[in-house]
Amino acid sequence: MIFGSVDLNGNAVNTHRDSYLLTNLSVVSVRRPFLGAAILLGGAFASFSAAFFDILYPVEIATIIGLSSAAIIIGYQTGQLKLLSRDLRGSELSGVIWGQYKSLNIIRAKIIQKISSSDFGGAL
Amino acid sequence: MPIDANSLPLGGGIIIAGLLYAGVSVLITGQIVGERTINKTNWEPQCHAALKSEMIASEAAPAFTPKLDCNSILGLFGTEGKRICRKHGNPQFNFPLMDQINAQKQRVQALQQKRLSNAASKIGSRCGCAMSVTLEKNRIPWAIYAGSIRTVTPSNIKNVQFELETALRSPLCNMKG
Repeated sequence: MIFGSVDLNGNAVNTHRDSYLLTNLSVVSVRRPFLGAAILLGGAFASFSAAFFDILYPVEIATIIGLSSAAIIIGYQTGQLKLLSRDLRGSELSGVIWGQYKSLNIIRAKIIQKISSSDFGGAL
Repeated sequence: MPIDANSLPLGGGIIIAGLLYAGVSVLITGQIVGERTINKTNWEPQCHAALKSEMIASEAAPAFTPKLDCNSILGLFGTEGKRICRKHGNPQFNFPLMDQINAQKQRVQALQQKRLSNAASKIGSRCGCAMSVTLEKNRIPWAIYAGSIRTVTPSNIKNVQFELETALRSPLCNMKG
């Protein structure tokens, strides 16, 4: 699942907002930006419900555990694909696409494969 | 000196999550844990009972009015006096001021009863007030206790009974009935 769109078309990557020439892309990275925060919050609240189980109602414990698990799963699944170009570093046009980490990683591999094949004489 | 967020060993997301957890501990979980911990110690029923017994103990004893019947007065004269009383059926002596004294006594008793029931109705709110004051005054210690998942217990939380007693006697909660 990807929020927006990313297509590899000829020698360009087209997102829902911008198009990037593959020859200009220097770094393509995928990160899980919320994972650390999600583990911290999910772990802390799950530990809270375990530590205070004697004064919490079962429905409260279930809600806290459910929300904590959901936070960790969302943090693990959410990914961010960054398209960095030497020319556009720091500018608003440095592309960011949000979506499922696994799907973004597949796209990253495809982009790198395309750039690599062109670097070694492959036709773009 | 400006802080460069990129040079910090922790990401911005983790710092924000930490601040969020601290905020939730101060505003929500600390207060819930505090309220339920106090309730678990059974403090409120104990407070009600203690205030009730204090209130009864502080009430003045009813004024003593001597019994003015024949035996009480003529009994002083021994068997002769008692014999006279038996003969006349131990009548009550109605002194001129006795009716007024009795009426005043009844009025005082009625007022005392009213004051007692009024004060008793305020016991609950005084105990509740002490609890609210303790929770509010120790908001940060309760947040530390809840946020650290019982690993850190500030002294105010260890001595919560004392904090409650202090709040109960404080002018804020010490309304006289």
